[in-house]
Amino acid sequence: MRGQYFVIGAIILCFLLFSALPLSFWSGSGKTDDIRYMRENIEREFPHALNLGIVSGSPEATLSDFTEFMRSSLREKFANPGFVWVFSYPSDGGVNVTVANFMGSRIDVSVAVGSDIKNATLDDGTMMREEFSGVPEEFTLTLSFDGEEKSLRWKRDKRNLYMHSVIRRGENAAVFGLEA
Amino acid sequence: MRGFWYMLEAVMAGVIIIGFMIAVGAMLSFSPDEKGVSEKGYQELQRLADESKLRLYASQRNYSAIEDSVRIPGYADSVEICEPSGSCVGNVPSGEEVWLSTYIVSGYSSYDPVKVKLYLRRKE
Repeated sequence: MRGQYFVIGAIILCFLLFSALPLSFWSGSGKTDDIRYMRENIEREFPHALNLGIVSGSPEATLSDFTEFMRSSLREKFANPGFVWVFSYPSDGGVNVTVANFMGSRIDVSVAVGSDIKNATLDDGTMMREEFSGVPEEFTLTLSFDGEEKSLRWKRDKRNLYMHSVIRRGENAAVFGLEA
Repeated sequence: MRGFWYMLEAVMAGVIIIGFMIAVGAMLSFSPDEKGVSEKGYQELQRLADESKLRLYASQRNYSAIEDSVRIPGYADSVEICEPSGSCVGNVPSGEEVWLSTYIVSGYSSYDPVKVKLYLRRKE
């Protein structure tokens, strides 16, 4: 009878060790949390795409095209990405502001420069262009959409970009802003 | 006779514990490396991007130059460069146990977006 205790004891010991190991130890082989790498790729490559767009004289079209390419590439990796970006460049004492929606659904957008506020509803993959006049050399642009709000302190005579990014996959999500 | 059963049960208990330890040991020796392969691939692409080699070679569609620049000990690599249209040039390895790392490049001296896919396979 006593010998059976050895077997029961061994099973209990294995069970205790099994319980002590995290679930990911057994289920996680081969899986990587590559959302971090997608984020790094976005953070490194979007400013570069903007520079190349400025050189070619069509920053908005370049950014728009690159955003679409990045989005479709991330979807291939079973991620659900979304982007909203705002870009400003100088124009005769004021600034031209472009906001683009790549969130995957229609959004209501509000852009404020000082007390001047412009609103629009943007379908997925579309942009709004607005001109703000009489803008001081340093100004605050406030972008609001879908319950998000971001205030940016920008220089009028510079080209400025802010991008709000969301990458979701299952229960994991990365939400981050990028300024260039 | 009773001694024999004691011994047999003790052996069974030992086999259970040793079997469990072997399973845990196998997971420990297997998973960290396997999990990290795609990560190593991505870091290698990032290193090449930081050195501007990735941009240059990608703009030239020179996948073999990227393959030559990648150095991950113990793994054979092959590279594919894909256009936004979906057409690709390069090598895709056959067989199982292949890890993929992808890096998106916007261009070198002009806007020319491509996807660089690095496939890694354990060397035999």
